[in-house]
Amino acid sequence: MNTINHQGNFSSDGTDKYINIGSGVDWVHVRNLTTIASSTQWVGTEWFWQRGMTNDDAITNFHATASQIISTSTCAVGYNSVTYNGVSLIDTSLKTYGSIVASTGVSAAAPPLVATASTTGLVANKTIVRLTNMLGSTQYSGMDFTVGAVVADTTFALAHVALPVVSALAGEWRVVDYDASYYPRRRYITAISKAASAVVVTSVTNDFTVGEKVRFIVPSAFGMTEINNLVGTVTAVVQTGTTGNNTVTVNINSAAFTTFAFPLTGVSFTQAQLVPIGEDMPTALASGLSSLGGATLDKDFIGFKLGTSSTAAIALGSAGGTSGDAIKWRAGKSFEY
Amino acid sequence: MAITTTTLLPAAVQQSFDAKLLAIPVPHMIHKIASVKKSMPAHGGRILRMERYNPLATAMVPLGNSGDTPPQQNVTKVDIDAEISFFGTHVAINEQVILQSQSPILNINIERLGVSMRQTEDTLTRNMLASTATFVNCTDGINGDTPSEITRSDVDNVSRSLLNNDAKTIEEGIEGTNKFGTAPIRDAYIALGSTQLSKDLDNCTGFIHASQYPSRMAAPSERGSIGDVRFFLSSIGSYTAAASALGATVYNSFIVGQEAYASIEQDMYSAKTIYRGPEFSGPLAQNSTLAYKFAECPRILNDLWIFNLRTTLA
Repeated sequence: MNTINHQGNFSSDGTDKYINIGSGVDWVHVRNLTTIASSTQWVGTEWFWQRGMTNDDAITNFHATASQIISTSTCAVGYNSVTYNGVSLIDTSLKTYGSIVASTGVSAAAPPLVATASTTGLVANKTIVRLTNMLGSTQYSGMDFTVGAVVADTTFALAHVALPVVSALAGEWRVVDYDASYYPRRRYITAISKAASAVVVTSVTNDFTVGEKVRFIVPSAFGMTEINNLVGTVTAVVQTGTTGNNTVTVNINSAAFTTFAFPLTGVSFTQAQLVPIGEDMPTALASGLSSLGGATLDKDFIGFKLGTSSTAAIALGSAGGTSGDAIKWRAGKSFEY
Repeated sequence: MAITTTTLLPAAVQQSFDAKLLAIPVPHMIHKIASVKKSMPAHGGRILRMERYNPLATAMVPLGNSGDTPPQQNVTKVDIDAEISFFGTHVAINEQVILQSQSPILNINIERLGVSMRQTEDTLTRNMLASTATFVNCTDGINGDTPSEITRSDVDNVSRSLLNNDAKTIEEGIEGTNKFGTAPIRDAYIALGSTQLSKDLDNCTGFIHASQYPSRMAAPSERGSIGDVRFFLSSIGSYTAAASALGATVYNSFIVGQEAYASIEQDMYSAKTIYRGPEFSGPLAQNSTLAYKFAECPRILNDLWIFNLRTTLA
């Protein structure tokens, strides 16, 4: 016996689509209205997934020719010599990670580029990666970063990092599948400006809100010790996520402070942190915002992911679609599975 | 010679069913030990706002004889907000299981659900502390990683920070007695960590195992003390996989003083156990359900009174 619990639709933005369904699902059916109406060869039109199938798989219909004649396969088997991304169950309370991938060096570009032979799973300005064993750039080892521009199977940028010490040495990275459970989250600091109102850059795209009170933890290894332990109120945030567009402005005058700088490689230290501590209600209200925006909240959810890809040929047949595709989905529970 | 053996016995006759159920692993639930219990009033919205007024400066300059009134001080405060979330899970049991099983299946599962609920509450608190508390890396160890293994010096650094921040200790000291191998225990902050740290703690300079306390005042989860900190360990203690510089697991020990964090429960919704008989399952009344629900939000109240001491293993 099946029951349809949920349905919905969205316009694909070309990235994986996460759909929050508190009840969980036993089956998912997805239709891409844009590709159904097209006669494009190798586009996927429908995907069906049920429990018992592996994550990221689905039974899929597609156009095997430049017509509307339907053929059927699975995402895992694929067609046209390509495998596709289907449907995955999601439980963000389970903090999972991707496999370790080798990197061959970090460039001196701005932002720095991590050289790697595989960029599978990376979505520009969205995916969080954790660097480890970065020989020659140990100061970044163990830290999480939002990925910037991705050049397929060549490099990815550390979107929110100033120039690092150049390293041509090996390292490792892995995808951090889900962010920390509770909002507002503590973040690593990668830069603090010297200005009448200090502007902070965090290694992972920030989710602070105007009016939030934050404490600076800046150990002596980072130079700007004057700001250590100070509490500021957030007066502006930029959270686009692209390089240069992930900033937190606070009401602390850092103009006369020592310059903030990352420690050199090989030094053991505690990372600089921006820690949310509470709310400055007058500032939030003066900005026309809810004064409750910084309330602690568990952000975990269960649901499913409709996968896609930054590789065009894979995105064509994947359940998450390509940018602009009109997609409808329905999902439900089965009495037995 | 034909010998009659037990193979003649029917399968059901060859076995007996032990009426005593086997023990089930239940972790020490340590993460709410130090939490302040607060209530969100029913019919009072979804967010509890707590406020803390900041200290006023001292008045160190004499008033003199001019009669002038010195400048006033601005009163400032911080609002601490917590939004209630709801949690729950259930099991469904077919009537034939209840009818035919020799085990008290409903009783067993309601007990399992009780443990699940308490463990959920504990884990939520742990996750909140891991997401938001200020962390300090151990750096005085010798394993070559960042953070390093735990050392006395690293623990003392956190104790000093808590003392500097006027955090009050939680545990009262234990007066020394004339017993071989024991040592007095100081007033102490408490640390909430993973059982994986037990070996490294044992090897830490100045570590006093709970068995060496002058009196048996240690909880089952307490491992021992270092300086101003008493360590409580659990198999569900916090860790972050692959988070050290060398890619090792990082263990989080939350070292806390009084009133550092709270568990906010929803009035009239703190813990509901729900049994629905089979008559609710459909026209044939075949399936019973057992469930729990609760509403809660853990929240750090003062970030200066709690530190996450991050360590790797030696």
